[in-house]
Amino acid sequence: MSNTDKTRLVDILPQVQENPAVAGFPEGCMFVNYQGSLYINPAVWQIAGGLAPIMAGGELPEISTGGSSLISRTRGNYLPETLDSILRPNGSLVGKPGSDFNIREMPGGLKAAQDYWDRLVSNGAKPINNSTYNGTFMELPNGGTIGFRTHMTNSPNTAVTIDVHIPNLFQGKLKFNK
Amino acid sequence: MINNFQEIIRRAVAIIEDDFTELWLIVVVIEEENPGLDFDNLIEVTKKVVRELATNHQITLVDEKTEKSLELSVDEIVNAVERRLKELGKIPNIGDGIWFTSNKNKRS
Repeated sequence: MSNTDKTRLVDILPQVQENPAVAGFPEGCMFVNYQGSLYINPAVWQIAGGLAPIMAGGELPEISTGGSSLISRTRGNYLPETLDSILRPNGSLVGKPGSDFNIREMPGGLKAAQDYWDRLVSNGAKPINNSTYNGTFMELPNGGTIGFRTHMTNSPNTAVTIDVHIPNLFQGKLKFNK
Repeated sequence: MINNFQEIIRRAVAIIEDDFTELWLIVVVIEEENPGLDFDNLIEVTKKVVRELATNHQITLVDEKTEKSLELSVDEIVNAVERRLKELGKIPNIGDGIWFTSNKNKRS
């Protein structure tokens, strides 16, 4: 997409939705046309730089880069990404079962763990500071808690462990392996 | 009365032998096998589980600063768990401490 492209983003949105890569978004990025407004995950905003000139041209009704709504692509529709859809995509727990079904083995190491963590905390998680937890510890709006740590492990293949304590959804560890 | 005691032990041993494990996750396993336990009974069941783990499965505690296993007696381990649960006065969560490890894969 060039800087001279005056196409309204709302007009190309179907194309973007159909093939994010064509419109300059990486496959799997998150965005939404929400009641006529476009909300883009701030983490994705830099990637969307090619669209900025269009936005600056006032062609769009409303833009927000501060919105915390993350959207997942599901069968052509764009729905808010919930904790349930993050932890149980397609109804099954993420990753592969490890030593127990509450221990999930995840690929991708540190980068994958950081990306996954960003998704978990994107809907209003708040840091918990009065804890001895050796890592980053946050409370979710639903009362659940999650922690991100690279310490307290004796698994040589584990780069990061994300602890998840969300009753009625998932209580266990996500071990991101190197 | 503890439901599925052997299953709790089997699962706890597998989890702890795999990696350092904080108390909250062992309590999750106990609750999954014993839904609806009140807190007082949860303490008692947790003590029995930890005693079995320490007595027959080489499970001990980890020093959170050095990340080394601690040489403690079974009673010391059980007492540490009981003391922490009573200090908390609630079901333990992430960050509430008491980490377990297995001496089977003790680091040198």
